[in-house]
Amino acid sequence: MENYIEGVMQDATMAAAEFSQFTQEQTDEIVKSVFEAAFNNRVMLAKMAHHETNMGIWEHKVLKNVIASQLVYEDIKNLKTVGIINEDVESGIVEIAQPMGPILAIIPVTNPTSTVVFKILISLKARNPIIICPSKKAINCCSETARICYEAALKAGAPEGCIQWLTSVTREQTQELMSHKSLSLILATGGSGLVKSAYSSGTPTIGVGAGNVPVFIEKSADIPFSVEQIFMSKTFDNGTICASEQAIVVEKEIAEKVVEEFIKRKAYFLNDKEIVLLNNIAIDTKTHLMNPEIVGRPAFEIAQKAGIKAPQDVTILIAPIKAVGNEYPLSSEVLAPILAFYIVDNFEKAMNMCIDLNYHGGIGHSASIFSNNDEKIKYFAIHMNAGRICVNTPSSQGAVGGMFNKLSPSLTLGCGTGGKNITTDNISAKHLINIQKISRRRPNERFVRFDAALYLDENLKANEINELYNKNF
Amino acid sequence: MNKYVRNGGLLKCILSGKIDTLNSSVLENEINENMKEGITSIVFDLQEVDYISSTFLRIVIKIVKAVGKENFAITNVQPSVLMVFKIANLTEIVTVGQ
Repeated sequence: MENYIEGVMQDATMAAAEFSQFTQEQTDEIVKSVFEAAFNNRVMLAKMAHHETNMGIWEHKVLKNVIASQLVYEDIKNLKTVGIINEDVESGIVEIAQPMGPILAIIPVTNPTSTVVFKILISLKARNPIIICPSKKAINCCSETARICYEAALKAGAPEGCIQWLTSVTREQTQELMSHKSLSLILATGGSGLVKSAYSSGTPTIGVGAGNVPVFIEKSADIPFSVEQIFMSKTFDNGTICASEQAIVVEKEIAEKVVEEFIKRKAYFLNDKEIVLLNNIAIDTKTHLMNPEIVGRPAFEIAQKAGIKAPQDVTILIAPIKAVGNEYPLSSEVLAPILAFYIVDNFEKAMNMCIDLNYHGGIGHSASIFSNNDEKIKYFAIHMNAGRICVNTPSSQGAVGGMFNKLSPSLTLGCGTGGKNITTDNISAKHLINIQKISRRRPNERFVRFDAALYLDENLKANEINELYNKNF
Repeated sequence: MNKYVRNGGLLKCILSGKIDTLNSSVLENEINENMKEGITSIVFDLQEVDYISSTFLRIVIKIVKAVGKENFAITNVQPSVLMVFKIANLTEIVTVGQ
């Protein structure tokens, strides 16, 4: 087994070497072929993922596969990723795209097949070989997805070994792979432990952060529309997307109407005793993290498990609570059809509640507002530490992009430095190329004509130098 | 069209064109045929080669393992091909000369 990782890395490195010679046209042919194969198998792979992980709703997983294939392909197909990608005569700068090399893709259990398709498409588009490392709970569906993509890639002329997948690796082997000298990048989508160990490996890593998405239904919002959007988003794949709504914040003026709209859609508002029952099974009291057993499960099943007598057709369990913090377990992220619900006196109190929620485990991720007041929307956005502020859109689908806004469709959502990531972008093919810059001589006139000896005179202050530097300019 | 020149124990393989996956297997067969007794070292001349596949790189590794690093060399590489050897991390285990 010792040589296994070496073998994987050797194949990936050879593939990287061959890939570096491919033209844009050859690359695009491969990406197209992989997109078509993944898209054509969207239903089978969704069912397989649902069956294996016992999470979510297979019909919704089909849609996730569509996002990862059709929408991602549409988004990247015309992107230049080979050779000269930009040429600016005036600045004298020419940009050249180079592949990065072998990429290790960590795949989460919540969105397994879709994340595999997504990462394969963006890696191949940038001429990088990819090694798929699936969650242990989603090995079969991820392997099958990777196999289908690999076959399609080879058929279109891709290098052997450009897609590999790991079916059984130990923790030590994963570590070995992560810190392998020939590995160029880790695309780490997963829990915080895994992301942290990827960062610690010494290999450049694009990671993600945890979410805890506050949703502010501001009083100018169209309430039935807002609740419908939230409902559609929170029930999507039983809430497995990390950008799904976690807590609703409303001003008391409109609270009754909001509650009514949720009840119309068969949401169930819990009383204080039921909240305690749900706390017990939703969040681990020691780690303050969600219980994996309820992730992606339907609301009724979770209610039953908690000993709550909710109607069989319940869609979302809503917990009206007063504050944010570990003493209010449901104010933390839960990837299931469960929402915290806050009624506050006014706009400022609502803002403060959203800030508290945002900083309670969701820094840098996403936030959502429903409003028809542009000033308040901007005010909300400025006060959130979130890569994506979704406005009048369902946050799951909104943050993922490509459906309700013009964000790049992505299953790896950067969370900025707040989420310990390097970017707040929705990660895509453009993040997987090294860009070289040819810089032609374009002298900075003021600098060239300036008497550099003046810099040596320490008595000359910034304003005096500035005056001379800019004279007659 | 690849050419094979024997000079004592040395087999010089003068390769040409694009060595893609398909050509690589042809090449492997040709090399095996030319590996008669007495051949102790091999040189690949890549003057006329402008593209190499991962399959070719694997053949290179196989040969290095079979004859030893000191008995195998690659000469006359074009810059684009040298870059591929660098990306593949093969210049550490194979002597690649210009």
